[in-house]
Amino acid sequence: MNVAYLVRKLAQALVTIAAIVILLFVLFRAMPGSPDRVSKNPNMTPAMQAAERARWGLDKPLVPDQLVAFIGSTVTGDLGTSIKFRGQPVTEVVGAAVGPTILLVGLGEAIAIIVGLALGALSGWRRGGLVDRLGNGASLVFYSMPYFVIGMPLIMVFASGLGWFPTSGMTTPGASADPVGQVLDVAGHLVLPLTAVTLGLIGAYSILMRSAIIETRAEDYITTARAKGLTDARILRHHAFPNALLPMVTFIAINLGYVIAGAITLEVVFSWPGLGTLTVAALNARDYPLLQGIFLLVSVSVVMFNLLADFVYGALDPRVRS
Amino acid sequence: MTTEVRGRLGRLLPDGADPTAPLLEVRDLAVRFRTPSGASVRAVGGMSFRLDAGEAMGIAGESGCGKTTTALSLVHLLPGTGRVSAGSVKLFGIDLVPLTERQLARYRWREISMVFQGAMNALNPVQRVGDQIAEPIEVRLGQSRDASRKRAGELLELVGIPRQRASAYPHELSGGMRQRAMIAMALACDPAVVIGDEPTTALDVMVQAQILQLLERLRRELGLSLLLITHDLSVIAETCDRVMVMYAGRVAEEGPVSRVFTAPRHPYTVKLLSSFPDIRTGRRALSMIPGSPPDLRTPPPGCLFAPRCEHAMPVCAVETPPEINSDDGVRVACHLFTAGDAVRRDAASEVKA
Amino acid sequence: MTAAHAGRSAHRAPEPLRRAASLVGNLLSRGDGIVGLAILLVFGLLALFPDVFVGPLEDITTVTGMRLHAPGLGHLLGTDELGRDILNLTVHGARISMAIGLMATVITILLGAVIGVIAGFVGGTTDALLMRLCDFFLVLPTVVLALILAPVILDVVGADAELFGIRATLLVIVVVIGLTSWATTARVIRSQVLSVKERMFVDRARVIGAGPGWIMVRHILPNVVNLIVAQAVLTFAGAVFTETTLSFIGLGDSSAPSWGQVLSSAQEAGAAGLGASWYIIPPATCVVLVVLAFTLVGNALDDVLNPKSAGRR
Repeated sequence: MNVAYLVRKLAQALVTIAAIVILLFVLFRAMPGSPDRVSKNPNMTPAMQAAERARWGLDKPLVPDQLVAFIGSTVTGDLGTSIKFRGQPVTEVVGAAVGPTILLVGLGEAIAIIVGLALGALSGWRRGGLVDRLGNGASLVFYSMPYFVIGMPLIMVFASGLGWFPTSGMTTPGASADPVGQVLDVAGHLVLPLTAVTLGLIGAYSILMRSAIIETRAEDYITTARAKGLTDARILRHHAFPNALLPMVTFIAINLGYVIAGAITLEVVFSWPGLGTLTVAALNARDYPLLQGIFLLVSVSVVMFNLLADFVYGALDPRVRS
Repeated sequence: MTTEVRGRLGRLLPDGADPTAPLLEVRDLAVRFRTPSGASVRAVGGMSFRLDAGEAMGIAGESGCGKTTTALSLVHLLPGTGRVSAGSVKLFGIDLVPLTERQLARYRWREISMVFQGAMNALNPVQRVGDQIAEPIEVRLGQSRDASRKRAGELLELVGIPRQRASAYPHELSGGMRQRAMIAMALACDPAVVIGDEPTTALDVMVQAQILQLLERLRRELGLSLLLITHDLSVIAETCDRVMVMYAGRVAEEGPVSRVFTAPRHPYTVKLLSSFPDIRTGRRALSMIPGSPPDLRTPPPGCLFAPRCEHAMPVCAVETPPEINSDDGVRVACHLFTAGDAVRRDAASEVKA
Repeated sequence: MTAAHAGRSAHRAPEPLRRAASLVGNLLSRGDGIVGLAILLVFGLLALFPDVFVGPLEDITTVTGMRLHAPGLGHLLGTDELGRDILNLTVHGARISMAIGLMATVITILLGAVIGVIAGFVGGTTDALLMRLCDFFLVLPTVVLALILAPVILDVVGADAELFGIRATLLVIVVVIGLTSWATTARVIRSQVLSVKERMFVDRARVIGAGPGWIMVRHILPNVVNLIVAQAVLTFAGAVFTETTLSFIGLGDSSAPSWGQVLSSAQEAGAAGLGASWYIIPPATCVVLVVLAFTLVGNALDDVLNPKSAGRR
């Protein structure tokens, strides 16, 4: 692969991350009343607060001392201590919440990508056909629904109404000790939120893939493929789909970056113990170090997946590769 | 009870083929497009022509006159709302117009293949050139993958590209190389007819000459039958036996290149020829054709060229001119000529001036 | 075809009225356009005159019903956990949700159009820098940014500050949506400006001697107005969507309940678990209908107006 291309993209990603760290610094240190937000902790004694202040160097000048210290601690992974979780390091609190979110949203993305791309490709290929009218209509409706708007009716019908699935959480406390039982328990809790997240994502994938296919259909090489007497299915699989997939790669990767930010509202609705629920808890407790840590994690993961998108695109598209 | 019929180079002809019929015979072909507002536009109206085995015919005319539409309609490749609304397209005597998409697939590429303008867009950008050439051999002729790859390599050599370049992607080849690869692809199934749609237009002059030489050579060596669409009359003069001049979706004049180019009859052919510089006679003022082609959504009655024609007579605005065949093999659709002798009614010298 | 093209000058603003009329005509000729416009008309009326339909907004002091009561004669859509009429809340929610959406759209489009036109027209280093800025803002996660910006903005302007009758808490939502969505608009408009500029070189005589400001306003802007309109409609859909999400997670203003805020109250009251579907379905349906309608109209406009998408064969 083209090394200069990789290096350029990597450098751009690093610059973006640096800009995010500086933005955080400005928001949390330089704005009026900002330093208080770090050290004003009702769970701490005045002495502990003073110690915290000194630890963060808040008694020193903003630039360069505080900025340098801020960048230094951020780079080494020291994001401070949580207020809500009584002095636990932010990294630990955040780390514990990442797993459930990745399980839920990651799985949802995987299903939505496969189903959404297939649905979009078929809709666009036979524009105005039955699949298109039903599929595109449904996609537009789900695309217009925030996750929690999909989730709340699901709870109403399948959890509190029919009682098929639990209404909230990821596990039933003290339900089962053996591993198989635990997996089944989690799976049962996963069904409804996973359905909601998948439906919410399918819309966007299918709509975009549809228009990518429609655009590709008009290309001259599709006429060539038709002139070759290939079957419709083969033209779609071998000529239209691979080309339409290229613009989708970037979109998919960027979307995957948001896996971490995930479906905050959906986690709230289902009390799913992930980052979303943690974010709202942090907001309600005005736990700024925790919010800051979450923001950093989410935006850095978005940047990294953007970078991944560039690499994958470079690997897939021969025009970029050479 | 179909008997195997073999034609040129012992190829197996499709079922129902008549070996005595002309290779390609198009009669009264009409193509309509539906506009977004629901109106129907006749892009090609009542075209007839014939292409014999081993012959090369050029189709000339301004852009938008229906050259490409005619070519694409032969094997139902019209984009969007385009439909063949009347007429017949007979290949070995088999009419292709009433065939379903599935039945027609048999004829695409194996009998009629195409070389498109601007091979950059006509080749799949994310597939290796060799694979694109091998694809019809494998899929359409049912050969093994290895055999098709090997054949693709031979075809590349045939058009002057080293076979190692089979693994290149289209963007890695120069414009001329891409066009050669496109020609190799068109030859993959040894088709009865190759249609070239402005095959040299996007290329610079030197490369253009090379591609034309290649087509010439292939015609000689393989006995190709060629339908060459171009607005560049010099390309036709160099490579074709016969020329058909189209105007607004109809045939204006058709005949042997030697006749039509030296003694054009239709006023439009005269104008078209004089708008091209002639190297032998040196630079001269090019005569432009005043006005623009008619809007086919609301075609004028009578002869479509009449509004731009210096020789227009009252009858031209009323009656569509009939096609007149003359003894020297030239066909012309103009009221200036009468049946039988195809001699101009008034002073013929005036048109030639 | 050729004649039609020759007759239409590439960049002279046609008479605005005639253009607007043909635009509406074009929209009405498309099924999705009609459906979208009809939905918007209904919600537009609700948002403009909520008092006419359901009386003034009910609050804890003026409640008329029992708590969490199912739909019945007195309260067609039931009541919430405070006894407020759901129909009343939902209709007033239209005004609040759409007002926030509108303000956020104005900010987004202003920022996006100005930056997009400048980047595309000036080009060079300016363009490169502005596009890097775009990339940066495209990466910022909207919801999480809103969460950390909200307290900062409230500290700076004060929680009780008002602008055009909208409280600071809601302004946070407006600002955050504006900040995180202008970049998309800027990119779309920039690429259109680039192609307009390309065409202008063909027609250089027309702009000889004119200053860059004049050219931008007189020649570039009229050619991207279509695109700006389509983008604005699509941005509005996104803004209502995001506002709903942000209000739901607790950034809303309970004294000015948007649909998201109503749904947030429903979540806190455990409406889904209690089976109080009347509390959830009306505001949720409204959100979906409005976002869907704006998306439909926006896509239709884009197809009709945007030369790139209209050019599809």
